Amino acid sequence: MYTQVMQNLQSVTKGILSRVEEITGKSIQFMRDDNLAVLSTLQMARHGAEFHVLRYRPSNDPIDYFVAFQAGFVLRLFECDPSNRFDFFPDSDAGKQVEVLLKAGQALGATDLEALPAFADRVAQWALMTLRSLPIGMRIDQWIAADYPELRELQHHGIAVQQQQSMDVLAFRVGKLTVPTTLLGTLAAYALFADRLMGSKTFAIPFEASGLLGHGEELLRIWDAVPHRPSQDCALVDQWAAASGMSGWYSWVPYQP
Amino acid sequence: MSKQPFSFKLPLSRFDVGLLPGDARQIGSDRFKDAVIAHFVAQYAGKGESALVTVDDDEITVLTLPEGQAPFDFVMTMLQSGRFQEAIPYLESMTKAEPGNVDVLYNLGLAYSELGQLDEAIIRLKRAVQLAPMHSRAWTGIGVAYRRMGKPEQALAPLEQAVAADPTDGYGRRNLGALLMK
Repeated sequence: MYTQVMQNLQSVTKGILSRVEEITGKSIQFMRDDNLAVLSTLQMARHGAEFHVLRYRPSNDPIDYFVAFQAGFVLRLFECDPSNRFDFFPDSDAGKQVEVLLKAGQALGATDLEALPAFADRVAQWALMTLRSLPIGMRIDQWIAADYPELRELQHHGIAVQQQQSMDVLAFRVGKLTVPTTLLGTLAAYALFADRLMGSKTFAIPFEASGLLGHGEELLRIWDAVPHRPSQDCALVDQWAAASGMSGWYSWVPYQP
Repeated sequence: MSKQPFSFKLPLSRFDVGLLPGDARQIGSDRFKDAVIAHFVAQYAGKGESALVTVDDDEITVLTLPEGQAPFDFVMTMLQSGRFQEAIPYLESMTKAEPGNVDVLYNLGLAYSELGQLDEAIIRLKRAVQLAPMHSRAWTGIGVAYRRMGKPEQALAPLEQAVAADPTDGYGRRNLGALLMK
């Protein structure tokens, strides 16, 4: 059931959502979803839909940061000129590229070979979603940190939760199959960014231990060097893809409202 | 919103052996395991945090603790809530780092005893009383472990030692009394 208001959001968060409504010309409706895997999602109104839908899972912890973070993606897209708005489409063969990486440098037994295609597809899906969301998400985190000090504590907690989730990827394996190191630089860059943003010093330690710090530092240098304007978001993703061996694994398609 | 513990696991093969001394780069060797533990403990200590690290034949587990929480206190909360299996690898790691820590040996022995791994329990508890001969509770732990093994005749001497070490300790007296009543 949709509602027009959501209780317990801070005024700054409501202000961010008002900005989304203003810039997109469509209202936001809220929907409680007890089965949501994450605390909140924001589905943009498209293909004739009359309103955006913000789904949220009831939680004892405030979800303001996660709502603001989701809203940031919409705001960055709509701050671009309409001719410069794009959707990210994963290539259907990306899993094959991951298979090549997984076979390189190690002999796989029959069980691993049997598991390989499904594992590679899953990793490709994760890697592309991460490529699309992390560098732009870091821009949004920078914006929240700079413009909304009221959310700082929730942001730090939210980033720590996401860093903990990154650890699951480092450990993920099926038999001898693990996520190829070249695809993990994105997470290392995010850890370095989180340490820098929050003044913490320890999120990068697991990545250093895994030999991923150099790649992470390279991606963070790119992130710093590419202009921070929303119109450069696709270029930022492309440069991260090139530095991670993922060019050609996806395409940009003009955004259709 | 307080800082939460942060934990992660790494497959052994994921660890960059270039970070370890030359004689510790054989993945899975005892020297490798010890060096990995020392690496993470030092890394977090260098940033003002403490970490509990375990390494088995398969993976590395690291648990960093909220500021101000001592590793041993954190493990004690596991034991007090009955999470013996979870606590044992951390206690093993701590006893490697501090072989002379009687409190760690004692609690490790009790955890093994609770899980029915009685040989392991007795080894740790005997080491504890070697280091601290007046540790009444450790003597009692040895006696209880022998009783659980079905060896009451071997339980008698350690329980007598327990009462001799601290005649006021009801735990030792109660267990000795129960054994003598049989």
